[in-house]
Amino acid sequence: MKKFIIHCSVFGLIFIAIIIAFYLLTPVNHKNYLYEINHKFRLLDSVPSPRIIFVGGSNVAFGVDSKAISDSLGINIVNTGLHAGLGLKYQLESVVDKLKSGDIIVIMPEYEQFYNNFFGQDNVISRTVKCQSFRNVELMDFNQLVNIIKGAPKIAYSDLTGRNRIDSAYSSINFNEYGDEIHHRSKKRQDKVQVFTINEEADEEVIETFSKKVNEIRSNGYKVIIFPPVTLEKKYAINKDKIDRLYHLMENAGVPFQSKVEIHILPDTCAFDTEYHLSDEGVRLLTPRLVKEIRGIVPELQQY
Amino acid sequence: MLFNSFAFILYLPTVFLLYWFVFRRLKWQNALIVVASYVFYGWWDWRFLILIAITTFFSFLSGIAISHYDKKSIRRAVLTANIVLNLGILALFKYFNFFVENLQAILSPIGITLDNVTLSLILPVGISFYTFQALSYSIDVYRGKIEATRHIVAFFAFISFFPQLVAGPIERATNLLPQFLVPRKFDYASAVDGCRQILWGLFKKMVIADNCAVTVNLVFNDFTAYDSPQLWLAAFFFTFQIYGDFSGYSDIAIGTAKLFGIRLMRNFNLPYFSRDIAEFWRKWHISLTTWFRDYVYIPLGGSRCKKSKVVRNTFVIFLVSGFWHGAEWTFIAWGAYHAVLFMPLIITGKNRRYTEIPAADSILPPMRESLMMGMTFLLVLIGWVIFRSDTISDAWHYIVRMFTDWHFVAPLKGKKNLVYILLLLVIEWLQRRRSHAFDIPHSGLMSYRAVRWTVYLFFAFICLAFSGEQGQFIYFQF
Repeated sequence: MKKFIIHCSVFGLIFIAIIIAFYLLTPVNHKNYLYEINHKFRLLDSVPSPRIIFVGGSNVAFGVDSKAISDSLGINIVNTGLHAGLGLKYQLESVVDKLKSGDIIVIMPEYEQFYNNFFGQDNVISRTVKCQSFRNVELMDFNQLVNIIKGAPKIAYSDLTGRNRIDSAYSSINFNEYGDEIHHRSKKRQDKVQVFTINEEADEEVIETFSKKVNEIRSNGYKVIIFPPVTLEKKYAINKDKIDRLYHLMENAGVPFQSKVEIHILPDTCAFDTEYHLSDEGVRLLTPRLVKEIRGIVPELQQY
Repeated sequence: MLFNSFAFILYLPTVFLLYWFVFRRLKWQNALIVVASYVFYGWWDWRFLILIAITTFFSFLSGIAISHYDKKSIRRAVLTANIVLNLGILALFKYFNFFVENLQAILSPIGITLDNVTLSLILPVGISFYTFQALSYSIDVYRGKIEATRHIVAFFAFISFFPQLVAGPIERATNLLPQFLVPRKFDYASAVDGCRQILWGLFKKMVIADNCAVTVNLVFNDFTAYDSPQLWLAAFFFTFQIYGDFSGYSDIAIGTAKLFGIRLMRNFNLPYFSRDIAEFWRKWHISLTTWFRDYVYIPLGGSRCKKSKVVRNTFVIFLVSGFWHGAEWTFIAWGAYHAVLFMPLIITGKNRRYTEIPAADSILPPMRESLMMGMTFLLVLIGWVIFRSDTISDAWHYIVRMFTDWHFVAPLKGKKNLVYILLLLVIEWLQRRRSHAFDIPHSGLMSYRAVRWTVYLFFAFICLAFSGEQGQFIYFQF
């Protein structure tokens, strides 16, 4: 028995040591898409308020023309959208500390973030933490820390073998001064874009936690607007029940989506390479709608 | 609690240490197993515990009652009552809505409607597994194969033993219950073997099943959008997803049980190297197949009766087996499909042609056997399309598209999974004479601990570095 426990412990320690060594000792690629998070945090620190801060996954990074919105509403914009795999919890909490008086937060979560993605995907959150040199780790709860640990071997392997290559459409160098991903707008869209069926039921615990976070931000005097993500026609057609139910649950939780889903529905041909990444045409269609919706909710913005 | 979760990584060593160091007496060890198993099961939803407690308690009582009475009619009545109770719970939670919805479909053309009759019930995970395990006990007591136990804690441990509670193997009372009645001794070699088997199970679940699941879900959810090569690839991946998922679970369960000094039965024996469908069914989900054989097929007359009855019995067992998997017509169709494949073998008496290990004395099988394996695999793969599809109509269209919508284009999704599957097949083939793929003899290079540990570390790393998105085990829903 003693021998077994010693062997198991030694094996476990060697295993953990190998993972930690590979995870920590492999260099960070500054052109990695997720490295952009550092730029976004710098924007949050430096852009003066009042401002609109967009929060969300890559739907926000790829789908918003911040300059056009800024010009229309006369307010500074910071687009913090990067990757849904970061999890809504992290996306919100990492922004909260950097809010300034007069800020308006526009949250556009992807639908899947209410199903199984609240604490983030292991590899995404693990790489992001590494890209940030472990800043913001103190914001993480147990579930997120577990995800970081689970993702560490994947990151270690990809960094070690050089699989951490940079796809031309996915790099930290493709973002503009607002935090928008702009490189793809000059590229040809993919002919066939996969649209996913939402198979699971919305996680009501996630919605409740989300609601608490939003109310916490609101109670500190900030305005929070919640929009649905861009929704392709086909996405809506095959997931109508799930999306309608999510609307209902959000409303019951006191954090309703503040615009109708129809406003965010775009033709399937507006997708760039995934259902949440808009092509240039898609960005041009969605942006004025967002401006109109935000103006409707925050009428004082019209004075600019 | 999932085997591949962080919670389980903390849970298992805790229970292990308490089991061997704190609760060293038999009674206390059994009590610990019951408590630990109820924590494990209640992790999903504590309300499930009520059902399993009812099933266990009444099966325990029925055993005592059956052994208490000598009169056959009373014994039979007690057994029937216990079967009705257990199958009643199963039917209510798993099949009620299915029956109502189908009845509704039949009655609505004649103007009868059954509004608001369906129930909004959650399906307790693993209900079919522990129900069948409990049934086997009372039937075996009735048949005189085992004596009724009066040790209620040991009996609760037998039904709820956490490694195999939610997805099997479905143990027989004759094998498992006696193990809870005698003191267990820690055996180093067995515990190490258990750890190796857990590692192999995790590889099958996390690397094979979870990665294949991504492509499978993508394609099966929108199969009309894909060409034939991609449909074939998705079907191929599902074939390995379900194998990796289910046999992976079984390996983890068997390995975990070894850590507690308990031997569970083998549940999978390299089914995809089968040379005909009969061999496949002797090697796939063995604990369920033999359960149906012993408690349904043989009581119906088995194969020692007229051919027409043998045909009937075979159909019955396959249909019931399909239906056991869930309240969907696709499962029944899958069962019927396999019955049809099985029928020629049973009619011609060739259903036991292949009982020995393939290529027992050589590295590769003879050409004829290789072809047989390929053909059997193909037939099984088609069956999995039926199993995985949402409706029979979808299954039909999927299969038609596989054969007709052929454009020679390379499949886009999931090609890297082929590498993982190849690794799985090579290792399982090389280890086909052993009890599991990581049952590695300490000979040659492997006699050096450093080499063995390097192999295990490599696989442990692979499990994490190449794992797909964590998913529930498919068979939990059954």
